[in-house]
Amino acid sequence: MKRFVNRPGMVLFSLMIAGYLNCQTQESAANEINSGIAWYGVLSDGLAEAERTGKPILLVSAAPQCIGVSGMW
Amino acid sequence: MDRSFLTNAWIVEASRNFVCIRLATYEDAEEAEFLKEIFAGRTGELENTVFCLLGPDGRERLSRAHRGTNQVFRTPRQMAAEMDKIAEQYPARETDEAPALPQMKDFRLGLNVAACDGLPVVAVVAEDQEQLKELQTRLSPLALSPELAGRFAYASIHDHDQLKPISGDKPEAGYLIIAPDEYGIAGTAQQVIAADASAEEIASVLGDFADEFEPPAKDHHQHVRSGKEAGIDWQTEIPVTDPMANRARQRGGPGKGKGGPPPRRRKR
Repeated sequence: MKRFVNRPGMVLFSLMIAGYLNCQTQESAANEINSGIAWYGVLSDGLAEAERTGKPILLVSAAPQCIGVSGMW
Repeated sequence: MDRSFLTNAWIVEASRNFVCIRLATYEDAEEAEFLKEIFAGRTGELENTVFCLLGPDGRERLSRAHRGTNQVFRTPRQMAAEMDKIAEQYPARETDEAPALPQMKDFRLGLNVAACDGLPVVAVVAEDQEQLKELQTRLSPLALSPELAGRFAYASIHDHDQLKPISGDKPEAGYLIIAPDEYGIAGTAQQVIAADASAEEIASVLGDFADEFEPPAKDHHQHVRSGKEAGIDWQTEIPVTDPMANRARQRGGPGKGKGGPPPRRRKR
């Protein structure tokens, strides 16, 4: 008895797997960067820079200490 | 602070079209008032962390405000997409004026923040204000360049006594690269870039150093525990008003009480 082999289905499935793996690779590669965000640590400096350039602002704040122990956000 | 969003490649890329301001909570009274207007907790007080996207005027809200990025956006990709849309509405304009150096308020804070981030510090050291301004102006475009952005913390030295916690050779003027200790209260001088170095020379030295620098690995609980044992007690400029942080401090540590975590209630 001949076994039914769904070749188009297998090809499509293989392409989907390849695409998924490619996305994962791209995502991994995209996350492997050396540079990061250049942060203004003084509000007035950052606001002046935003006014100078017309750029919008990404604002965050965090405490550079945990229950009084510095060196850790 | 949840850094998973802010270290994501899409967010970093999108951030190039923004002015990125990260304030150290409780380290400046005026900044604290500004932050409280952006987001205050249920008690109405400033909490440890704040996040918001703002217009160039620093007032217009372009996103919801909350404690963190992941309370406003589901994923980094969603946040980056929103940032890209916003950036299209606020295209950057070119000016002849040099950007300000993205530095911390003072060297003490800069050393601490660098330790938090696992970054080396570039201290701009000068003999007078005029020279300081000149050195900052030469450095600032490099600090904001895609090649060097986010790879160093920056601070300026107004008084050479501020360098007392730093061991090693220190210049009278120039750029001093420092490796902070784990608590960010002392450090070791690593390399000096001369005050008359060109922008290209500065960029080359900083790039090479950043490529070689390996930050120490840190575990949050271990860091806090060993810091407490070592007597580390960072004094904030203004009192901490985050209820969770203060409760943790009273308990003697994050997630720990004097008798351990509270017992689970039995189901009836």
